[in-house]
Amino acid sequence: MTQTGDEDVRLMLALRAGDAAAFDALFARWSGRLLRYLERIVRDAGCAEDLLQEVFLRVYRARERYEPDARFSTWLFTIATRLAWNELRRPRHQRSHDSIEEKSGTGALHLVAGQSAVDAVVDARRTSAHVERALRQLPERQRAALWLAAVEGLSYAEVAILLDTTDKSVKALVHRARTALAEQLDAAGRRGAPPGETS
Amino acid sequence: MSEATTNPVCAACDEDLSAWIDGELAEWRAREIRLHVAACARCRPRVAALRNVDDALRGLASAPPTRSEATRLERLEARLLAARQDAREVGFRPESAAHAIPVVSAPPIGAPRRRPRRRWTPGLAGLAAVALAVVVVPVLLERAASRSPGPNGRDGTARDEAIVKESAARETAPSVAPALPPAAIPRPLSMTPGRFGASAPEDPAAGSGSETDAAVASPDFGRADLPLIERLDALEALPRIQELPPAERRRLAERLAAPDSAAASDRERLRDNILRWREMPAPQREALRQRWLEYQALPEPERARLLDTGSSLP
Repeated sequence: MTQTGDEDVRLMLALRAGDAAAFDALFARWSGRLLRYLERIVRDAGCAEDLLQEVFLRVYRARERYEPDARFSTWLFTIATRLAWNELRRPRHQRSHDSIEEKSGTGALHLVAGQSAVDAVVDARRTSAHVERALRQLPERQRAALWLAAVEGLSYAEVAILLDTTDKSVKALVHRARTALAEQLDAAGRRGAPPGETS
Repeated sequence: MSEATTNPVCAACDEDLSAWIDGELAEWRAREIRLHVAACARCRPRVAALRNVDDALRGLASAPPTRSEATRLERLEARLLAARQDAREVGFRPESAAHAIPVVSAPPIGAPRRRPRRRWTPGLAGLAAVALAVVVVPVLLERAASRSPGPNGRDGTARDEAIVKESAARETAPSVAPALPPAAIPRPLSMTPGRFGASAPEDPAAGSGSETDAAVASPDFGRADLPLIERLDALEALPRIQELPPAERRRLAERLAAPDSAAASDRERLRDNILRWREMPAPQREALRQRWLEYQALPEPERARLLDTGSSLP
């Protein structure tokens, strides 16, 4: 287990023992990452925020039953993923949301904040928007698998537990997702337009 | 398909590139990939493109929180604090907390309530349905469909596995195919019981006794997958699959699950035939169904022979 994992487990055990501050610490450590993950899965900033709250409420509710059997992050993302998928099946989620897409440009600016060249800023911003759009077009399982493996650094075995599937399936999901994104980015780059807008 | 994947060696390598990037391959295989990529002018840009995706994703994830995001998180923290205080005062029930959102266990409008299942394992009947469809439907189709080229649109070879997997996920298949809307298609309840203490399956953090609607709780099918799932009505059209003797179903299931090229070929045929089935006029489908019934009426050894040899019906 990593040092980061140790700290999460320590906090969770502290929470189980009644230390409310441990909950705040866990929230501070994970809320940002979880929110971004949820936003990518449900593609709705407001909904992701609600889900984030629900995730932490469930963590709190489960504190007395918590056993450090698996990495805390795996457990946390499992809760988040299943809540997100529940949400996606709700009829009201049929409507489209652009709030995440709007944000993508802002994120890209941060990416290259240390650079002064306007071109670099514009390029990064465009790439970020392309990725965001391409990600939205992936099936949700591919989206989740890729994000968890590539961004969160979970092993395929951990993602498999989280998605309730096999390592082999995760391997296929991640590869399909990564390939699709690469091709979309490549196509968008050649066309000079965001993926999904030029077909 | 990229240029790199048209070369057989590159194609074999390509399948493992993502896993290689993620450090998920066995050492010997990782070494093979490393050597190939180093020597292959077609695969190097491919790897670079895949790595660019990761860089871009990490860029999205690692951007500092915007002011509005920080505000949102602060607001959330305050709401959580209020919910926790409520919990301490009246016994923790997030649903009753003023700021808590409802627990998402209500079924979609119009979706039938299903019996909560505590654990889902690939049902033998479902697997048998797939196995039978794989082996028998091609036989029937070849006879009844007059070899008309169906719009099988080989646009998604990667979908084979998903089709088979999700087909196998059906524990039961009705004897007559109803035109189910996607939302009403039964979905397996996905869970990892006992993984996290006393966690409930659909929600690792939830209590173990909560009622859950399987159609809502399962994350196995995404909305984006629904067009694909809809095609699987063909499987449900195969009548009385579950009436087959258990031994036969088991044998067929094992055959389908075999990790060999024959099973892969079967899956390929399944995909094509499902698509052809979907496009088939109703009378033709009915004729096919009748052939299926004829097949079922055959003595078991004869059916086994047909299945083993892939022969047409007598």
